[in-house]
Amino acid sequence: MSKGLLVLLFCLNMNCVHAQSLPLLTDSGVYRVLFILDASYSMDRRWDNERLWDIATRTLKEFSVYLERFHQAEMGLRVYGHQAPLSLNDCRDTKLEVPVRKNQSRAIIKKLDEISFKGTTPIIYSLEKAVEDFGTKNPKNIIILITDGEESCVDDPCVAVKKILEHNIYVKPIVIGMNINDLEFNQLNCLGHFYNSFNPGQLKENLYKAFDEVRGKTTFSIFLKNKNKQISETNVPITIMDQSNRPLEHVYHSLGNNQVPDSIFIAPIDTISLKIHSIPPVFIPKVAIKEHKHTDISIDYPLGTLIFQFDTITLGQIGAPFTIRQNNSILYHGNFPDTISILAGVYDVEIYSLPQKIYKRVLVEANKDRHLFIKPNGMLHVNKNFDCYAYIYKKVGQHMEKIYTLDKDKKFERTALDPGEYMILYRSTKAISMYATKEFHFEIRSGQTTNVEL
Amino acid sequence: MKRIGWGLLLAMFIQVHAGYSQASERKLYKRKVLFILDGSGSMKETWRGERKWDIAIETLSELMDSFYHTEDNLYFGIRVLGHQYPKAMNNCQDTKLELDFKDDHQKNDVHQFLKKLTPQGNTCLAYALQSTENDFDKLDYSQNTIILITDGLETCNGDPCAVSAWLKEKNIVVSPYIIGLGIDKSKKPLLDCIGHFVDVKNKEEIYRAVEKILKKTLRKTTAEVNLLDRNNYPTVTNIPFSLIDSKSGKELYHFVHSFNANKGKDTLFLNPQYQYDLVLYTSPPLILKNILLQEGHHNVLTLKSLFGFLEDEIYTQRKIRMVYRDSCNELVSHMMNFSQEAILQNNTNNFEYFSVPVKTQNNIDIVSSEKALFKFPVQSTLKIKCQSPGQASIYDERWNLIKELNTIKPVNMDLTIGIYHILYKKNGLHSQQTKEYTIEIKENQISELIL
Repeated sequence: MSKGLLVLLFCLNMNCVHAQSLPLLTDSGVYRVLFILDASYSMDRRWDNERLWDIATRTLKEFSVYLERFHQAEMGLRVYGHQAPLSLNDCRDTKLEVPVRKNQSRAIIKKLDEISFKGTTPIIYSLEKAVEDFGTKNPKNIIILITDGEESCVDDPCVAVKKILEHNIYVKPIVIGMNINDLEFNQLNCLGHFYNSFNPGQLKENLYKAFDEVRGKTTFSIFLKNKNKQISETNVPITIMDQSNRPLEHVYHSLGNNQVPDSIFIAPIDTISLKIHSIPPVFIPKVAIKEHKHTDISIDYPLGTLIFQFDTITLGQIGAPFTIRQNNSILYHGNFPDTISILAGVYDVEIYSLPQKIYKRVLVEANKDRHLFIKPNGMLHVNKNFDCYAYIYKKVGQHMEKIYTLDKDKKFERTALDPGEYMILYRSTKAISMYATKEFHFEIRSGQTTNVEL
Repeated sequence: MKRIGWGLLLAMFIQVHAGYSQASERKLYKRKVLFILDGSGSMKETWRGERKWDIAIETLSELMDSFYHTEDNLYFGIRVLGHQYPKAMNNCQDTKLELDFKDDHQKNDVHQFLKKLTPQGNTCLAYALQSTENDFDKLDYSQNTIILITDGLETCNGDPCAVSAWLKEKNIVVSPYIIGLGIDKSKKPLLDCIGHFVDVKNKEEIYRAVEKILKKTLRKTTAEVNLLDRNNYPTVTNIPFSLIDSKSGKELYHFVHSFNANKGKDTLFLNPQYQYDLVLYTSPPLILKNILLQEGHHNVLTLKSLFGFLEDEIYTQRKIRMVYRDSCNELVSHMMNFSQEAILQNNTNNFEYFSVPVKTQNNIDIVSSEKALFKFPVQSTLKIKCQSPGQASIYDERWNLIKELNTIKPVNMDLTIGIYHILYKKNGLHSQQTKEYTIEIKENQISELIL
């Protein structure tokens, strides 16, 4: 691979599409509205001496004109229950009569004149189909369902609608009920943003009101509260997920102009989950947020600092690798010197110097620095003038303990060692007695190299 | 690393040879024999016309000379008691180390020297015994024997038995013997507590008694160390081990195990006065505690050591750090030349290798498998350069954070082949202007990303 710019932007899951698009920070962008109209037989009933069907179609025509004129919305129309008579109980009786496109109000009006109410009420099936009607996923896709009664085909519409929303949270519909009684209420309430209307005037009102509310941006900001700090912690990556823990977007937390956390804009959903990629990571499931409004989320974020450094500065120090562990898993793997932002807690630290150092239950406190010092190492250069088994021992208390095995096939070897007293125990590979074992005692000093000839 | 700044070279103070070498000790351990010689007034008494004192010193000198000629690594010392002050002065601290272990004594010199001393004073046995505390250099770790030659009992109101017990408590390692010159049998218990008691009546008997003691105490104690393989044959060798004094923790011997010329067992001379811990440097070390040797005999130390070696299939010149953990997931050791470490068979042999991400392999059967292999992950290099400072981090396929990335300097990292995600946000931009990248690291390919 030659030098040059290589930017790979390939995504593995569909949600990437949203993540890759530019953030929708302003209210620009056109809304795409799909009306789903109930044309079941019950639309024959009357409200104030007018048939529900006539009220619905009349209001819908007006509203679509309004949407187009004042919001340049793209619109489409899906109808259910209008093709087969009730006696057939056709649960697949749903059709996209007008596709979602620009300047469709006329087509919608025309179609509304052509069709009539007839049959059954397959709301869930229509919603499933409606998902494909939009073509692409877009937070600006809105479904407005107008219905006068409950689902006739699916046993548990609340469970069914959950499944639909799992795959596509953006299609949570606005449900405009026409004179829905208490019994039917529970079924329809769970389908989406539900508005019940008790008279024709209210139907119209609800349409306008619902649309207004949907247009409000759903935003949230995250305040990472660290002990006594006034300003939020920041510069930590966060994965935003829906309530089924599917990732929606990955962002870096950042503070805006007034040291205030940035507002994140997402599609209108009421629950998100967050994974903060701190050390260790923090997972916050099912955070409730207000749709079409701003939610301030405050999260306890007791961040401390763990500082690995040498207790003196010398040239020639190499630094040893280390791991930070908790509950037998590795949280971080780094090299001396290093400064790590880590959540307050108790950790085990292993430093792979020679000899190794194990620190158990290192306490890190919120908003405080915790230092781990080691003495800078020295270097050992060993040159073998004959083939031998050789081992490095370090003085520990009263005796020497082996800490390192030299490579028997290498004539020259070098390694970093902590300052202290050492010896090399060695014996020719051809020796015929243990008494041929020899010792070479030496000292290692920080930042200095010791040469040993065997 | 072609060019090193000269400044840096000068600054790295290179120290040549700050050490000293020693072979693993002259074969035989040091033996020290201290005679405590009664020079009290009663030694002027005669046996068949000769003063007991004269008999004693003549016998001693002969014996010392004889043994010096036949034994290696042997040192004599002589402490005399009751010879400096007459009885009338009632001095109860009358004892002196007249002949130090350091000196190499010729027979005649010793005899001449001792002849100059005068037996005259009190018998402060207890005090003399107590003084031996400083006669033996503790750091010498020699096999120490005390031979007390006396013709009478304590006359200074000391309690030799108590002193003897006290010496034991202080871990003064000695084997004491007492030669009684014509001491009444009834008095035996008073001296018995100090050590092994022998009563003699004339010069020959003194000679034979001391000779017998010396012969016994100077019998060489030997040992062989057998490291058994999985079939229980002592075929294992070339592993380092140490012998440590169980009580003080002081190292006494370090060896790298070996067979002798005929692939037979190699013999070690070990001081029998110590209790040893044998530490065999497998990983983790195998320890045989509280080994008590049979004095004057050949001891067989057997260690069943089930261990094996982790093979290094991708041996390269660069060092690979391998971490070895036990069944409780405790860190045992981190090894650089891991293929040469004898790894003890454990319930679970767990190894960690710090690739990115970390690779662990558990339950490798070190001993019975044909080849105990650690499967090193295939890695390739990823180079990342950020065009402006900001925040960046890299994740595994499932969005687990691996580490934060430096946005100021270019980053080179070796990653296990696979899929990774990277997040990057320039300073000053909004959170949702964080960019996401996904990259596949392939074998034998260097990947470059410019953010």
